[in-house]
Amino acid sequence: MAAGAAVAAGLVVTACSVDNPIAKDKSPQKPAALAPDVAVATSALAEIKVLRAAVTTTVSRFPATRAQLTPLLQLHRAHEVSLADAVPARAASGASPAPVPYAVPRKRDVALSMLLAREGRLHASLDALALRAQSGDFAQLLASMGAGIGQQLAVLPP
Amino acid sequence: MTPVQALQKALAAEHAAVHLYGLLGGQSSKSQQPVLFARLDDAYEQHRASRDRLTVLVAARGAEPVAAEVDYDVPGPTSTPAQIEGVARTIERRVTRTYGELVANTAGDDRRWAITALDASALREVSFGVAPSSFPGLR
Repeated sequence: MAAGAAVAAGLVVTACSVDNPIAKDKSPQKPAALAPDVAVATSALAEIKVLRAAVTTTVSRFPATRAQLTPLLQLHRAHEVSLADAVPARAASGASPAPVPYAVPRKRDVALSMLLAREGRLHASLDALALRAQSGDFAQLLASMGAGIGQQLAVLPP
Repeated sequence: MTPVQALQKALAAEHAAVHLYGLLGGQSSKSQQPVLFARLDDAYEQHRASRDRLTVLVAARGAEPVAAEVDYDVPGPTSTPAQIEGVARTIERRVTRTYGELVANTAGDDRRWAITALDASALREVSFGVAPSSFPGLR
């Protein structure tokens, strides 16, 4: 986790030291354009948070899935921590609309299938964001996160 | 590290993987350990394909693809199925780290391919018993 956080922290330093539009833009009417990799980090963090909420909601609805899904929750938390330093507070809280509450299907098997499909989509999304990242180290971090999801899905108990 | 250097490093890692999986396949029994044998065979084929792809990518940049070495040190004993799996885990961890570096040092189509290769090697890791990691290939 420390290596990931260090990469993300470096991203913030780079973004701020070169040109941080957030710091300059004081107009509330005009959304600030995030530096390219900060925007990538913001997207990644938002998607991970949404999915962690979906996992949490599913576990609450089906407590018997807790043991099965806890590794995914831990994984998403680790990824959030590694990205948190890279995302300015304003971008993390105000740039995106409030997430729509996750609707858990009534049947456990359906709920799990839907959740795992979303995990697969998050993996694909992190890979796509890694491709967009301008910093090579940050691309490696995002691709590693995606691969981590792939590993977790591969060993998920039935 | 330049993109070509990163590609050459990944190619060198794949040369080693192909050699070592060939050796591991020879040490395992298709009849007595069919699951392990199939995994080794599958990994061998995947590494061969990656080696060939990397050779093309390096040559396309006007560089001479790094050649395989005559021999490679086997990273552990291979007398039992458990030991063979242990060596396979070591190989895959090394390859995964190399692909992480390739992601960091490439862009565009090369990075796209590196990401796919990183995903594949991370999955091979767990198929040989590596515990899932939050950040495979990062350390």
